[in-house]
Amino acid sequence: LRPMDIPPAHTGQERDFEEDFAPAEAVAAVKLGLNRLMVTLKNFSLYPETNKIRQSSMAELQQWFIGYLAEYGQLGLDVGMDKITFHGETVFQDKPGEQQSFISPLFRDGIQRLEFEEGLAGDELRDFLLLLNRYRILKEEAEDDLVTALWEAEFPNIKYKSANTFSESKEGADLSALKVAASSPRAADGTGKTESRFKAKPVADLFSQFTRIREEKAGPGEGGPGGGSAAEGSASQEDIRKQLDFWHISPTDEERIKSMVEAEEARDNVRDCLELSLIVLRQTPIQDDVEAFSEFLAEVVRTGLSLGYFNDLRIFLETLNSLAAQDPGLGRFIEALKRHIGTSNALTGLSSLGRQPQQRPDQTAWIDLQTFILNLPPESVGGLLPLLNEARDQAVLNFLLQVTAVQTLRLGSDSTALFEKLPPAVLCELLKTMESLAGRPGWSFPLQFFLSFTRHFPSPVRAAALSAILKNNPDNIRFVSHLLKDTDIALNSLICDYLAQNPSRLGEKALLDLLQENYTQKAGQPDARMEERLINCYLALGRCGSRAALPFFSDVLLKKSWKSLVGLELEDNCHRRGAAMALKLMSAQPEVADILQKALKSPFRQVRQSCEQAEAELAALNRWDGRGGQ
Amino acid sequence: MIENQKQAGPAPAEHLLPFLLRLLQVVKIHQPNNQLFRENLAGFRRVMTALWTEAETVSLRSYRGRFFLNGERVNTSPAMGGLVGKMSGFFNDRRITGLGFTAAGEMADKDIIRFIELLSLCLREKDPPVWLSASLNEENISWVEPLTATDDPAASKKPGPRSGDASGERTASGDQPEAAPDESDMARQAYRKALGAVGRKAYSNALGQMTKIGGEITGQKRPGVKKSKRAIQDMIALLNEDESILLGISTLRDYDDYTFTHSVNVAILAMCLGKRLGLSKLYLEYLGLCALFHDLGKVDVPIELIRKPGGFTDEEFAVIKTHPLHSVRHIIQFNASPAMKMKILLPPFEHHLAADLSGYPQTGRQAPLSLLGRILAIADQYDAMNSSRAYRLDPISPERSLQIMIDLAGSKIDPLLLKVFINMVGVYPIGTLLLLDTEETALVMEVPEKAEEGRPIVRLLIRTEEDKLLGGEVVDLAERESSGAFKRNVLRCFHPSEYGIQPADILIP
Repeated sequence: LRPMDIPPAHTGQERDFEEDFAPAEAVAAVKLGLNRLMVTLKNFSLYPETNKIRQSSMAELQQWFIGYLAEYGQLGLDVGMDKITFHGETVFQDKPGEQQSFISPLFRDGIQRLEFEEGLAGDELRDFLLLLNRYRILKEEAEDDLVTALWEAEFPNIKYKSANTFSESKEGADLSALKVAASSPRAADGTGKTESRFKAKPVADLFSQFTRIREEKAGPGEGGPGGGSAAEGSASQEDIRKQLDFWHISPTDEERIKSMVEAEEARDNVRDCLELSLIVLRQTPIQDDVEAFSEFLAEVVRTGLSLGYFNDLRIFLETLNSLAAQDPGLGRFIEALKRHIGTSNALTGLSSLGRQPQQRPDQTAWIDLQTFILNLPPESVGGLLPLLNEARDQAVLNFLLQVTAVQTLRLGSDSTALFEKLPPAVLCELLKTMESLAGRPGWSFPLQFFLSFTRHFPSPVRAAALSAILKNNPDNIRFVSHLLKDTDIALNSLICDYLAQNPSRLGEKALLDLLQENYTQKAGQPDARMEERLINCYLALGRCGSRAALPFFSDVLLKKSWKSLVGLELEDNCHRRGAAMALKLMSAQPEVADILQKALKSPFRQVRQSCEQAEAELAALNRWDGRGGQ
Repeated sequence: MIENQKQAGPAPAEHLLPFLLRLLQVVKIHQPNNQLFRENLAGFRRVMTALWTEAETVSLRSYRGRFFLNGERVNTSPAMGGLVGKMSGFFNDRRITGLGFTAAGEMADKDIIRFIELLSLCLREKDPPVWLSASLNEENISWVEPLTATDDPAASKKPGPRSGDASGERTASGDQPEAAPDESDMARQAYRKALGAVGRKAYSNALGQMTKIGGEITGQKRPGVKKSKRAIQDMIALLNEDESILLGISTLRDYDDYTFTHSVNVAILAMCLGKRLGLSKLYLEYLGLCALFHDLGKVDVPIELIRKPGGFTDEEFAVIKTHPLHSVRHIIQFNASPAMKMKILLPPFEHHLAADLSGYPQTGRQAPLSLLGRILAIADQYDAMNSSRAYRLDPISPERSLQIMIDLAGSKIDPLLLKVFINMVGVYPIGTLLLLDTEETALVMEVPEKAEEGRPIVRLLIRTEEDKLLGGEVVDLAERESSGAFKRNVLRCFHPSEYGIQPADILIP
């Protein structure tokens, strides 16, 4: 429909005429169809492509179109400010304050009418809806609107009619003002001196040429055609014939042209744009606009990464670095550029890396890519993290883990928020990679960074961070001992296991402090979760503890408060059980046998029972988790 | 109520088409007693009666997707766009150019229905127009007849047969060497006029956008390209319809503000060449945008230097030579998607580089020139030579410009592209001012794709008493006398600017 239909003046009669012909059943059908279209569009926004709700609403809409177009051949819809009309009947109207209207972008961009024709295929309808949805969600853009996008999409069975936006904006030029020759004197250089001007000759001069030609023909020995200053004479018919033969396009020419066009349209322009960017950076004041240049380069890099131009990109960044080294002013600009590349979506160009066997880089390409990424500032972690989640190939994942780990270590401790969206399993892998890297010469363990992962992250991540912290240095227990009380039992178990296997004074003290604190503040029987933690701590202390813990264990096992005897206080068997088990584990200590003997002879049943059952409980625990008794 | 309203005023010509199409649709699915059917029958009769009050015979003709009622283009509302396309296709399928209606005392419903049925059914026949005509005769329906190209009253007025053209008919449009069966002179002229209006509007829009973008760059804003895109898209649509109209518009010149008219002209020439080469629609758009923006870097060159008459010093020329790089910089700074900018960045950089990589800017880049860059270079050189510039006051004639470019083919200009370009613009490019041996003057209007000996179709010029030149009759320089000699031959060629002629004003009124 556009743009060859020059918009005619509308008359009321035309509209009246159109309004006459809207069969009621067709109107009802169109109303139904447009409601389905709206629902489908909303589902496009809400759900991913694979979602069943989205797929079924799309299928229903497609069925509706097929049915309608089979019956009526064509569907023409006129677009109003907030409504769609069909033969003058309103068939869809936005609700007041509708935020997700599909009519607004159509109307805003000047689309007056849409026509759907028989033959509308599923892909075409889907692509149309995607386009409509894109402009439904986006605000007005500087590059495109629905009209230019529809033009480029070239849907075979969806036509549109748009208003000419220029007629309203008055940005068109007045062509009658264009002059082929000088119209007024003008100083060339501001000195007031008028330049020489090109002035048109009078028409009479043109016609006098005929006289001149007659004279030339009549005159003896004339030496060819004359003419005015710009007259070039005319070639003889023979010359023209020869020229035309010479300029004839042969089948070979046509083949060459075809292959030239194919090559041009297949050209990706990445290498050209990288090269031009460097030239422009060196030779023009592009530095004045870091935002525009960064946006542009990010897209070039994204495309380059998706096409596997790792060598070109490595060289590009290295050249930027050398430019930065030569010129500090340029250096700041280049740093900002690199930061933008690292933090924008440029690195998403790697998302298809390794998806196909042929896309898997060879050894040199891996090195180029690694050098490229590591030449980016550490903020590029933000761009790398989403890729970890998308990697399907183990080699790709390992590579990404390595470079992300390096960049994360470089970035430091303020970056944990970046990792919140990463799946726990991937994050655990990353922490392990970082832990391994941090152990190498030249790197120091980022304790604060790992500590931050022991807070507010999913349990496996906290455990992985905790494990790395404890492995890095046994003394780190002082920074994590509070986790013995954490609601996450896994952390408690992890620390207890670690301390049991790696006895240290600090560890012993941490356990003892916790147990003493809990014992003295006891308020009856602890809940099951707390009981489990306390027992864990007793067991750990039993395994790693020195004689320093014995008085506490003895006290806990043997002491019976008068309040509990008279029923004023609930009996706490948890600590007693824990102390008994810990003592059993410390049976190598000479004082232990004496304490246990006293317990077995205690007048209080609970004390005796705790001591009697400790052995069995330890045996049961050993069976349960496979831990050894010693 | 609606019926009453319609009877109150005369039925507009535009209403004939919808009634006709709806009758063709309802006749297949409804009985004549159906309400919709009856309404359409009544409407059709009412429209015909109204038309017959103005003329005894009414012809409805289709030409290239447009309808003409008694030679006048039928205005179509946006809502009727699809309807026009359907009716046009309907006529084409049946190999008829239209329908002729002769005033009848009374049209019985059954006759209208039968006519509609026959019109629909004739598609199955070997020769639909002949069958339809015979069938209408058999049914004694005399108020309507199918029209074909041979019924065209204007056909006899066409330029005489051209040698080498077996059909004996030739349209003025380059892309249809054989006469379209539905063509008439009046329809063609109206059609060209309509296309010309579209072209002028697109040109004006592009020019306005260039001026705006130039201003925004000077004001250190980031220009958008949406409206430039729309202008280019409109031009491509026009190019798909009629290349000669667009080439005609590219002859527009502005002495006082060369850069922007030049940019738009280069965009047209480049897109026309790109189309000839077979570039896809999207790449034509990229090419058009490249061309539109190729000289934006001149905004950074001091105006006194741009307007300096005569030659440049080495230092001045060094400044001039930076403009392709500044064009690249400004394109990067556009408020547009980087993906699109990637597609249009290289050709503006390359437009002053020769095939052997001489020219400017010299940056050490060794890659061969892109196809879009080579196209742009040809269009740029051709239009630049055809324009009056501060440093070279007399524009070079189109014919001479081509000769200069031919001399540069090989090392400086891609010879194959130049070959296609010369085939496109012809030996006498559109807009060239000709002196003919009949002592007539003319402007080249169109260069048929297979023009015999490069002979174009021209518009003769009429000299007024005030010594102005106006457009006159359109003639084909390939027309021959009965003796076999050509009726008119070219004596001399001139640049139209030399005589103050803006060819587009005459060729595309």
